[in-house]
This record gives sequence, structure tokens and C-alpha cells, in this order.
Amino acid sequence: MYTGGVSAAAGSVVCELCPRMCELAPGRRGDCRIRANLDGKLTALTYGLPCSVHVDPVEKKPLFHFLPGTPILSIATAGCTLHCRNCQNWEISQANPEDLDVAALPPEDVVALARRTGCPSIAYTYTEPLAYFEYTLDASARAREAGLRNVLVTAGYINEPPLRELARVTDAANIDLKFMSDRLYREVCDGTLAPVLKAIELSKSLGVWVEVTNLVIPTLNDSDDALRDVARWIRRTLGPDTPLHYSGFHPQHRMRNLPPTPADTLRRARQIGLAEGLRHVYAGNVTVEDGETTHCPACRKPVLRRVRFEVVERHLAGGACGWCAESIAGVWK
Amino acid sequence: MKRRVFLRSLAAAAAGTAAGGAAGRPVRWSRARAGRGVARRILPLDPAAVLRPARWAG
Repeated sequence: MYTGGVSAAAGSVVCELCPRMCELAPGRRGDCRIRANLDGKLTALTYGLPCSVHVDPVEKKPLFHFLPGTPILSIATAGCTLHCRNCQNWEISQANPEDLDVAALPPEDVVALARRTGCPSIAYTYTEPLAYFEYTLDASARAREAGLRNVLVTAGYINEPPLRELARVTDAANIDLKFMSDRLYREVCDGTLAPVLKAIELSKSLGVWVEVTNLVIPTLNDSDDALRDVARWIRRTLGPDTPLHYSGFHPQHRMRNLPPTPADTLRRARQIGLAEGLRHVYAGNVTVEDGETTHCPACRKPVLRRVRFEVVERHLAGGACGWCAESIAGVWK
Repeated sequence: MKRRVFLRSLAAAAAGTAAGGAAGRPVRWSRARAGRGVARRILPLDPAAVLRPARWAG
């Protein structure tokens, strides 16, 4: 449960899962709402109790370089380690678990359901899979044993030891890099930047296939400099083959005062990302022509063309461009 | 006190699934909400809902 490493007052426990390090008095729960101190024991309240279970296209995560065109069983429980004012899924991520209808789905049933629905992989997504860590870990381990793959869709707000443990059974992750500004992380998400950068870098170094999403919010992080900072950090730290998804913002939750991201902004973002040397830069959540197409970095012809979440054109042969045979980075089979 | 009782019932349900307990027995938990007729429950998994892409992002 990642507790016990830090001393706490009598009867209290410190949850050492995420950088918040919540100290929980008896009967209290953590900032994520789903980890509680019951009888001096840190307890995961939503273990095996997902509030959302769906089969999605893997492109919806978004993962564009991981088993394209396949379905992925996607599950979530209540709770999140961050509290973004713009959260698109706030109705479940910022909810107390007792306020949501749930299904009882222990890890072995998650795997059975993935098989029954023809999914080669399972995504822990929608809210924050690192908050319901034990459930994610156990389901992932069982999925691995069954020959299935595991995907995290996460904000990456976690401490290093649990991330190292989870990475052993994780195949791919889409990690949000919301801002390159610690101030904005604090003001908008009630979090901090450094742990997220560390989690992205560590995931990559531990062999997880990583794609990064940057939500572009008008007036907050839509300047050329802000867009460039994200792309530059990714290229320098993770390498030019790391896919970057610039994603459109929609007014939600506690940030309804800002307008949706214009398509032109996302077009500009994509150009900036490509100019910074990234080979695969996408624009999503808003319709942008060719924004979701994978181009061959050598011949620039379309290798995978997508409309919404569907692959409608495929020129990929064994992980290489079907036009010029250039290798395309990703997990293709 | 109400909240603590409630947390125990939720933790017990989570422990049940951790121990390999199946769905089936609907557990109605109540907080102050129950008094307003909005109790939340453990429901059987809806196969039709599973096969639809979620309305949630991600």
C-alpha cells in the first residue's frame, strides 16, 4: 500500500503513493477520495469496484502507435490525485466513490471480460489509474499472465517506487503533460510539475511505450513559447520518435470561462512540434485536417489515416512504412 | 460517525472483490443521501454498456 516509510502521529498513516503524501487520521480519507485510514490501516476503497467499464478504440486513449485499430477494454474507478479545474471527466474523477454506481469486477474478471470482448489490451483510464493503484497493479499482473497488454492513461502524478512497480506490468502509457509551468500546475491542477516530468521520463526508461498529451487551453498555454517548450522537452528527454498529441480544450467543470481551442491553434501547435524535430505530432479533440494522420518521417506519405477514432487507411507493413520501408516507431503487434 | 460507518461498508465491498468475491448481491449503501432517495449501489455489469465506447474522455 506504500505506507509506513514516513512517521505519522499515533493512529495516523501516511499514504506514500503520490507526491501529496497525505497524512490520514483514523477514519479519514486522502485527497484522492479513495484511500482511507481504517483502523490504522491504509485501505483502497475502490479496489475491484469500477464505475466505468467500456470497450473503446485504442485511438481514443489516445494511443496512435500502439496496436492501431484494435479495441481496448477501458476501466476506471472514482478518484484522482489531481484536481484540474478543466477536468473533462470530473463527474467521476472528482467524485466520492460512494456517490457512483459501480460494478464488482475483481482483477480476474477484468481479464475474462477483455477476452470475452475480443480486446488484446486493457486500459486503466478515464480517472486516475495511479490513484486506484492496487487494482491497476493486480489486474495488470493477471492480464500479463493471460497474454494481454496493459495501458495507463494518466496524469503521471505518482512517486517513484510505486511507478517502478507498476511499470513492470505496463506496456504503454499516454501521460498528460499539462503545462511546462509549475505555477500553472499549482493553480489549475492543484499539483506540481516536477513529479510529472519524472514519471514520464522514468516510464520511458523502464520500457513503457509512451505517448504524451498536451491539452492546449486558450490564454493559459497556447503561446508559441508554451507549445515549443513541451515539444522541446519531449524531443530532448524522450527522443524524437515519441508521439505528442496536442489536444483541444472544451470548457468544463470549473473552467467554463475560457473558449474552446480553435482549430487554427492546434494547427499551429502541430507545426511547432514538427519544427522542434518531433516526428509524430498530432492535433486532436478538434477537427484538424490530417491532424490525426501518422505520416512516414522519411517520405512524409500517410501511413495510418484516421477519422475520429477509426483507422480508415493503413500503409504499414511489419512496423515499416508501406511506401518507402522506413521504420515507424511504435508497438504494432 | 455516519461517514465512518459508510467507509467501512465500502471498504468491505472492496475487500470482497479483492478476496475473489463476485458481483451478484447488490449492496445498497446509504449516507445522508439515502434519506433523499439517492442511494448508490453495486450493480451487475451491463454487457450492452460495456460494448459502447465510453462518454468519458480518455
